[in-house]
Amino acid sequence: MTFPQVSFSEPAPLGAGEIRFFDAYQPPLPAEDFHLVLTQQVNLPSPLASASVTRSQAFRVLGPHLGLAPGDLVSVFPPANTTSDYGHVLPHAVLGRRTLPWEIRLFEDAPGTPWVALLLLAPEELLTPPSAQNLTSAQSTTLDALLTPPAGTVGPDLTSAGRFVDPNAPPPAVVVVDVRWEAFQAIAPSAAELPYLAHARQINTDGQEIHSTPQDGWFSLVLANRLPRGSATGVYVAHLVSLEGHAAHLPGSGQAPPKGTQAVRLISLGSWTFTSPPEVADFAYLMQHLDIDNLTLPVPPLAEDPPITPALTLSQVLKQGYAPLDYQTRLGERTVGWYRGPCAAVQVQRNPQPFFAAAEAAMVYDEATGLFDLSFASAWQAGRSLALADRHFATTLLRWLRQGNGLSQLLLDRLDYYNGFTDLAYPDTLAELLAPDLMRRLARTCLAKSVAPQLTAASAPLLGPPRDPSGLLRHQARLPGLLSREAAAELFASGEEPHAALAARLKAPGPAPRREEPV
Amino acid sequence: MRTTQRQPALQTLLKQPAVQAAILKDDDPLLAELGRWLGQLCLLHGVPFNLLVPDARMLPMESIRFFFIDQNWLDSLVDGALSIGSHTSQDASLLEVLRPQAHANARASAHGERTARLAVRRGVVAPAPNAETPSPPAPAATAPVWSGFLLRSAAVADWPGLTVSATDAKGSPLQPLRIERVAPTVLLVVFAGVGQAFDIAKPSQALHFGLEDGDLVFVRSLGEDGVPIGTQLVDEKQHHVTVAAPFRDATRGVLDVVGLAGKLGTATGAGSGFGAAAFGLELIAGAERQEFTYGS
Repeated sequence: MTFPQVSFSEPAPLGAGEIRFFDAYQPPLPAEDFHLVLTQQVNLPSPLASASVTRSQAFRVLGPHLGLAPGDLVSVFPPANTTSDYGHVLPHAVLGRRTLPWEIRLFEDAPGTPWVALLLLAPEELLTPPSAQNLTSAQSTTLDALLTPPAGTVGPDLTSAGRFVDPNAPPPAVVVVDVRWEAFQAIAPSAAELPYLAHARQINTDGQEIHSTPQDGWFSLVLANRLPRGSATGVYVAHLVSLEGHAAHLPGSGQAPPKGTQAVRLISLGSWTFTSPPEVADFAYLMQHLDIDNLTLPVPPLAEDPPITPALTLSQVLKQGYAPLDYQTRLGERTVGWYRGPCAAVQVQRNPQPFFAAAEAAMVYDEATGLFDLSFASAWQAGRSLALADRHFATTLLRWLRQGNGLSQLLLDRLDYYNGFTDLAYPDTLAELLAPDLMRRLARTCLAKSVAPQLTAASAPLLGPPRDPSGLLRHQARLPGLLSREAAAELFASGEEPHAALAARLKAPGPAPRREEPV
Repeated sequence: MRTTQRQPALQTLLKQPAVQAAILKDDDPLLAELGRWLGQLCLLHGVPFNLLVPDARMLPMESIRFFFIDQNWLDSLVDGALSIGSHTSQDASLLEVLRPQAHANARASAHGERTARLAVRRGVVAPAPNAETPSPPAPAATAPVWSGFLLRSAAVADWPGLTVSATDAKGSPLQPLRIERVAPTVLLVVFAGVGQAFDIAKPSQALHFGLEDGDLVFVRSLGEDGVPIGTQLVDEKQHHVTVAAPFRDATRGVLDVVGLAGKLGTATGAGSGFGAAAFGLELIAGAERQEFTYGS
């Protein structure tokens, strides 16, 4: 076995939005059994016999032989269970590991050949057609049922199947799909085609996300070799299958199958279904056959073109995008009104109008013809109806009006104040007029101008000397801790700690404090 | 009583620019919210379809109809919406002050509306209808000119998410204001500005692989002869270099992969060095598009 030269240096970083393609990203070792053999040759001078010592260590590289791990299949295209015109699309599956398609060696001498293929199948090409319960006909079965399938079906030739199985674990379940032999021969890629149908990719994950990709920006991709065509119903089933052990069954292998072979049993690594209806019209055809015009009514084939207004004839009015509509007036008259919606066929100059109070006010009456132009009236009515239907808008508008009304009323009130109290300096700016502390300033100004002069002018206190507000002074004689004013002043003036001094005085024998008559 | 007496004074007051400025504060969240709603209204959200197309003969099946938005019609639409606030003469006076600002704010908000919606869809901003929206750009001094088209086609239903773009007479791209399916087969598109060339493309969705119409591959450069990798190759007559895909089973659509790789290897000049990476690059599907020129 030859091993690819493996370089462990990562390629240069990618710019934003860049993608780098790789033909194949082969792992250093494929998923197989290996023996590490160490031989030491001991050469000794004659007559001593030379000897060689050999030690062998077996090891196994595990691989996804029987199925993929969750997360290995990142995304698929066309998206599962969608319906669209996919007739020109090659389906693909994105795998979350750059080495995955090359981890198992299909051919000893071709390490670049992937072991997975994306088969696109019509329902009738499957041995068991898909049902509502099983959209892709994938069935879960045992390893034995894979290796020894029922008569008429060939399974993979996995000579060393034992290596997939951990003897201590319960027998593994395998998801398989049975494809009709004739269809498999027609659809499956040949050994020479397989290398073109898988590549590895590196993208810059900083840029826009293209697929839901692995964090490191590396993934591999398997492409189908079939366009969604040939299914009578338009339903297609895609199976990502393992070709391990199927080398002899591939088209172009030159080996005949056992007699009576009807189907081939493949391990399905992932499957999905989508619909590409055969009758969907071609996008380009639809686009190229569109009827192109302005938004106008077709001009009827008339012998003569009647004038609608003094300046315009019928065809001219229609070419401007107007349409004649039945119009019943408020008085019950039936007449014709002209209408043109917001999507006009010609460029219209902006023409400021007054703020109409009712839809009828917005009607334009042409005296010359006696016809109404209802365009703006309809618009006005539509705007009103939509606004009335939207509670959020209605409340927002009412809240704004309340706020505006509040402000204008406040302004008027303030102007009244300033006009009433001529003492206040008239404000220069609106902000000053609306300043929130007007009442305080008003009080301060009144105080300064009217009350303060009287207060400062009087020499004696206006209300006389203070009395005995606590009512305690008259009981002083009976309360030894209560000092007269003079005694208290004396105590504070002494500089002693007041509490200590007071305690000392109470303890000291002496004449009872003089009683002070209440004032 | 008092209000009636004060009404003339109020009228005088509301005419003063300083008072108007105080009522129409720039940072007023209510004003921003009104502008946002009226902006949606101006993009004809919720307007009955029969008001856009009063007669079915104007928009037959498989047709595209170009138009200019009549800003006077939108003015009336906005006036009608504002009219629901008019209960007293005082309200009416206030609404007169609000009206020019509301008209301007609605247009400005309409210009930013799609951007805001896309931001919500991409998860940049959490959707919160009552939250203060980012302040719209300053209202343009001149009246905006909007143009667009109605597309009624099976293509609208078959390819949801058609990509639409437009350029003006100078070739500069126009800002899309609204691109929306208003019926299963009808697409309404409004751009800011006068569109000269309109371009409709199939949705690009994810990067994928496939053939072009006629089962052709438009050959891309693999970097030979100094042509940047990925650019489509053209011959001396400036025609795209194409390769017809060979089939192993044409009924089933099964490609002859080796044959196709050989043809592509020759066309790109890569020869036998043409591998899986080059094969993938060549088969990346381009989005199909159709251009319409206004007035054609």
